[in-house]
Amino acid sequence: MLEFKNITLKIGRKTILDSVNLKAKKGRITALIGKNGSGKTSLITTACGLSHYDGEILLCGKNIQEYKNKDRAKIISFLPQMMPETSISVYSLVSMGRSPHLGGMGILSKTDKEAILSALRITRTEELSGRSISSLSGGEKRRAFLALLLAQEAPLLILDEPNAYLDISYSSELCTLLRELCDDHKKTILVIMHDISEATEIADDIAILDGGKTVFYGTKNELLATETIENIFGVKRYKAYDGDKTKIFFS
Amino acid sequence: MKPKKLLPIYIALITVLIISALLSLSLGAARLSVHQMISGIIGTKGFSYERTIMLSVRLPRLLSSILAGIGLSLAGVILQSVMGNELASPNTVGVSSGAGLAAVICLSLFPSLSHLLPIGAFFGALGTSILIMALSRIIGGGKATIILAGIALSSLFGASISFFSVLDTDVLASYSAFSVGGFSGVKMSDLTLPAILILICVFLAIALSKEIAILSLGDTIASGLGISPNKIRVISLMIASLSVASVISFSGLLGFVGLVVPHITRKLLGSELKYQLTAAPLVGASLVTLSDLAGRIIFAPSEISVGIIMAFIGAPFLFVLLLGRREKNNA
Repeated sequence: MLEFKNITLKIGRKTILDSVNLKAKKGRITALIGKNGSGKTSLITTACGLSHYDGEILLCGKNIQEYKNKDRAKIISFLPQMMPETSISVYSLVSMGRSPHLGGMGILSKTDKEAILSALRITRTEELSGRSISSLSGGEKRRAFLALLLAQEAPLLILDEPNAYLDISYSSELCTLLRELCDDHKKTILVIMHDISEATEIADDIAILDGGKTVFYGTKNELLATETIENIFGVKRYKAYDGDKTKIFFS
Repeated sequence: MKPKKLLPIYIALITVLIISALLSLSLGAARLSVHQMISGIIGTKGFSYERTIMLSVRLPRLLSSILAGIGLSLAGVILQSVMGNELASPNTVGVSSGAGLAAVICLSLFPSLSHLLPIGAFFGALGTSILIMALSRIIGGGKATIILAGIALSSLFGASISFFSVLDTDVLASYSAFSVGGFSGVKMSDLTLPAILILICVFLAIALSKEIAILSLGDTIASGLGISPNKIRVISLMIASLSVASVISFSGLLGFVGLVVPHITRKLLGSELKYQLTAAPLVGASLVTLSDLAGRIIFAPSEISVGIIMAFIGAPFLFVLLLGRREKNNA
């Protein structure tokens, strides 16, 4: 659905991305992992149209630069790592997600309102809809911004460390929600994750960036069959058994 | 905020503005009754006492204060949203000083082309807005950088204005009043072009309110929602600059309105931009009208400039704002 082909990004003389190739396949979760400064965020911002790069990004087989902004926003939605500070209500925030679908007058139709309510329901933020964003906890705020993305009804979600700064219970809840979005709502998800264990648990495909280069791209099973993670991140692999399920942790 | 709660607030704001306007027309060195005010405006006597006061002094003054309040409040709301900083205002980010410097240069270099003053002030304001945004991007460091860069630019422009004033004694004579801001001596004919421009700015800002509100969530989210951040930012800054420049062309460097009013509006109606853009002009018009009135009646028949009254209101307000922030940070 989204394909980065030979993406090179330079800021001044520094090369941030060096011929990066990866795909976010339809109906799958692709996790993008890598050390700090490996170019993960820079890569996804190229798809937002916020930076100039060499190479090609294909969205549904068509060069992303050929899309009009609004048309692109109907297919692809972004959630940055840093949540902006705002005091508007959750409902107002989520209703902004309908922006690509609205006409010149900007009036919400019945379909728009249904999409907003559906997004609030999926992210379990219905009860928060009247509250100000600034009054929410970290986890609630993440869910509210995720609802904004869902109201957009784009089939592809790009998320930059959605579980950053969240405690373990909120983080686990968010991972479950991402899996539900993929399995039940047929969303394609490209997500940057800092926790390798969580990434290997929820993702179908994994890409690893190191020093601005793709050092691995493949399915989770292909990755776990090698010692790539251990070699790049200098971590050890542990297995935990829960009944007939086996969980893999890196630490 | 629900529409049911909004309506009484809007009615109250309009009522306050009407009362402020009536008081402004009635009170001053000479006190006029309602009958005298009406006959002064629509009366047929050629040069009656009331008619002279109303048409030559009070009415231009009232319209000046309403327009200044609308223009500066609107610019304040836009700048705070686009820059994502509650301390941004035409004064704190140097937009007013930039417009003022351009106006002084116009006065100094082209004294016969005074009608070009709003255009010169507009380019001064717009150039400063773009410079501030560029500097904060190059330097980085977050929201405080915008204010710090604004303070530095304001100082630079202030020194440049003084420099031009010293070079040109004619400019020096008018600079003192210009730098404080005020409406004495403003004629109806001075207000026609600014009034048209300010009203255009209000309509454009309301039309763009959805895009500006999305932009306040950051470039990545805005871009993800199909908005071109740079395009909307530049258009918004042009609207704010035009609005500030229009006001400066007849009032001089009137401070604090653009900082204070968005905060009052936010307290009254919450953070939704569409409500702020519609309510802030009403609040601003009332505040400037009442400040101008206070300046005229406190030491009547002597007069204190509205700029001085606004500074007396605005500076303590800023301290309260900073104290509020400290308490919020400590909570």
